[in-house]
Amino acid sequence: MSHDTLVRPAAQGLPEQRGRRRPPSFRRQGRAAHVFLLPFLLGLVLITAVPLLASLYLSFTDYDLLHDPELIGLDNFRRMVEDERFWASVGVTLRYVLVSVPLQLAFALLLAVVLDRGMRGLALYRSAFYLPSLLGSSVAVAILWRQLFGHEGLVNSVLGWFGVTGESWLQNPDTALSTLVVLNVWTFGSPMIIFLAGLRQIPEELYEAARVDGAGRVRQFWSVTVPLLTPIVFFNLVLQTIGAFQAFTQAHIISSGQGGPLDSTLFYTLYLYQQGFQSFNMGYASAMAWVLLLVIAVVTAGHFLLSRYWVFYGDER
Amino acid sequence: MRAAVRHVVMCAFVLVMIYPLIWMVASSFKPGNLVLSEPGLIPSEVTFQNYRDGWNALDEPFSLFFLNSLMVSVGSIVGNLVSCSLAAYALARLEFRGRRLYFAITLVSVMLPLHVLVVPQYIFFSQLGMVNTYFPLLLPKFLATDAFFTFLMVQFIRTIPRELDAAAWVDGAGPFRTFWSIILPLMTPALVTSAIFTFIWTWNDFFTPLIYLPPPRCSRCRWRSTR
Repeated sequence: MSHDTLVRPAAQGLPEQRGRRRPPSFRRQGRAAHVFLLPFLLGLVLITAVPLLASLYLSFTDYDLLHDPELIGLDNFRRMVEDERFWASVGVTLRYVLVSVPLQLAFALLLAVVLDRGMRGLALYRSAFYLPSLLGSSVAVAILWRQLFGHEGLVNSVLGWFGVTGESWLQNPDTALSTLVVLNVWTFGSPMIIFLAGLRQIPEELYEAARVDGAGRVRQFWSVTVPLLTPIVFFNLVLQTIGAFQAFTQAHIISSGQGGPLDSTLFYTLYLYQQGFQSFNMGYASAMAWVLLLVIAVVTAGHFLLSRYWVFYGDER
Repeated sequence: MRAAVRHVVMCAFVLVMIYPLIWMVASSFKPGNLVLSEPGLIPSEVTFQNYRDGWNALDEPFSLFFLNSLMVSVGSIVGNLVSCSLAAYALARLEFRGRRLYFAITLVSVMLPLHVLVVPQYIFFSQLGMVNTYFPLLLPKFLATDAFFTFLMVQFIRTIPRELDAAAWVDGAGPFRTFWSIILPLMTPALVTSAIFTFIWTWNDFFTPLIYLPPPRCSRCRWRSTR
């Protein structure tokens, strides 16, 4: 890292010059830095730090926005344990994260590897696969999904050609979540772009050496591509997992904000929104938010710990 | 031959991927009764009536909604570009106490879920009487709270050779002049990237407006709350 080795500009070996022709002094740089950082610091305090601590405080209170917050100790957390809808939302979110993230990354990796093998028209394919990622989080696509998976939607029309009569995918509690998983997998373009960039970094010599040693296509993929790509897989895995825990818009649109049918699309964030901004249980919502934060932190820390066993960095031996 | 097969397979896959989007566009030109009965793309009857009806289907015409979204998106772009580039320059180039700490905070807050902050933020803005105005949507952008972009710009500035800064200092430029005349013009690619992503994310953002513009929604968003 270049900035680690940096010393003060004055010691950088510039010829010693007089007056204003020297690099700005440490103190002058410090003053300037705080002017540059003024918006950043204001935002850090007002928009991030204070709300973060405030929500921690609120999680131990009962607060409805009209009356003063009332300290109730751990009651919010106790209530959570007994709240069936809370556990329903936990189940939905975990299933969504565990199914959609690996599927999405598998698609992304597969397509990236195929595209990277010197295909013509790469740019065209890349853009086509990336397009859903740009639109995937929009309200328009969520509404489109309602059309596709509705009772008389496109999916059932296509199934009809094969003699399968589908019911409404969105009204069936067993399939409603799957439509959202499909929606997330459909946006595999953004991790795919990152995989493509990673594949570019793998030196061609390694493949040549593998070929000389008699490795076929499949063997090359598992013994060269996969190990060298594990840092990128790791990066995508961490980011997509954090993102999937916070999925909100699509579930809100598809279930009209209810999380139905039978709470089968009640994402954690959706339930948090209902508690905080529809029932105005601000204390309970804050407690839920902190649980979410802790879960994400633990999962991310777990990813980092486990990464020692499967992520391979090129500079190791 | 193999390449041809591969292209056919890929094209088929692209078609499946993109079909819903094309179908959505095609359906918008079909009369309402044909949308669900005709799964194909080429409508037997083309009409613009959907657009005419949809535009005025609500109390206010769609032009107003577009204008509101445009206001917020453009405002967010300006806010992010100004505040994040200022912070990024200081974090990437200037020497001062606390630099590493601030940079670490930026990294961590990229991963911080919005939901942990949104309840107190809402309380904060509602006590300032700013709910149902543009402020809760725009103010955070002017305070460099989209840490992702700060991080992106820091990484980009690090690729600009430091000799250029040194040359500017030799010519008598201070930190502000160096930022304005050297760094800012050279970081245009990072600025353009940030602008594009800010636009997409703000235009598509549903959660924040849902919270800060609650029902009864003001149809005409304003700078001052009337409630």
